[in-house]
Amino acid sequence: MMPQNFETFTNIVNSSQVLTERFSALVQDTISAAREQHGVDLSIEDCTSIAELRNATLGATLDRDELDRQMLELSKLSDSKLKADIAAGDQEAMAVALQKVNAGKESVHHERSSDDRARKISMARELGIATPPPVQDDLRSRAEKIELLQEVKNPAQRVALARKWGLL
Amino acid sequence: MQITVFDYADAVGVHPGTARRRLESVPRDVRSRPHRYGLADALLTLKKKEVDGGAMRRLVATVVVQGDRLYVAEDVTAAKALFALLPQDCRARFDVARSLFFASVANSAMAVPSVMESAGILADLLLLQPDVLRCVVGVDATCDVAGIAPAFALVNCNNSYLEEAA
Repeated sequence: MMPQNFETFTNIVNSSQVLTERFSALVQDTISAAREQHGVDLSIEDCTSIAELRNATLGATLDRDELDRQMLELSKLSDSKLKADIAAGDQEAMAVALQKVNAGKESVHHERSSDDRARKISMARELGIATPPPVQDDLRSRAEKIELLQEVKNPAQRVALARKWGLL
Repeated sequence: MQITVFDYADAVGVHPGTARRRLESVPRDVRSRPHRYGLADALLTLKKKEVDGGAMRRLVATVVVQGDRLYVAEDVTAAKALFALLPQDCRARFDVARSLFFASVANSAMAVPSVMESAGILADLLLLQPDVLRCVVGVDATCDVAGIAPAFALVNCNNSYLEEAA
């Protein structure tokens, strides 16, 4: 999502004592609601980007349900909700998550392709739709390391290298 | 681990001339004055009566180890010959050290084929590790075999002496 610029809004709020107070009260409410209901910490910028909150600050009647719905659309919150749904075994949530992981440019420049794949797999792991990363230190790599160490002729160097590689 | 003719004469209780004659065929470092002889081979020249009289313990006690304590630059055949010469109580202590060695290596990161294939030879060679030898002949009461075992195995596996023996 493009970071939006709320400069006009901020200027208006700053220019009026009443608006500033109303805004800070709403932000406090929203932040604590997000923390209680979803376990996510929002920033002031996140709150500002909720349209319903901006309207309420400027004097519109606050619609609680609408505020909650728009809050859920924030990317931080939608991720955590998606994660909870996937953990509960929701197939639809899994499909949404998969779509989210695969969203983005169709073709990636070849110099960027490994970055892109790394980003995708880590995102998928975060959402809980991919297997955890493989355990690095399996028996084979350890045996290979020790065989390499045996090529080192100087005993002291051999021990030092083994310590460095976490084998001793 | 090295000793001089005078260390030998004092520890065994023989005349320096006798000591020199006995050590004639033992490999030595001629760059130092007096010459320094390899301990393992020197111990092999002891008579049974002298071993029973505690000469081995006194001789091992004189040794000051310089440099590398883990790397045993000696032949496994010397270690085996020395084991054959040990009195019964010393053998019993070395058997304990051996089993500690196996247990510790098997439970460490060194439990890989390239090390374990020579584990038997390494355990024989363990007798020539200075701390273990001091403990086995009764100079020290204890020694941390389990602590040094993985590093000992790593340092001494496939050294040239082992390859000749295998």
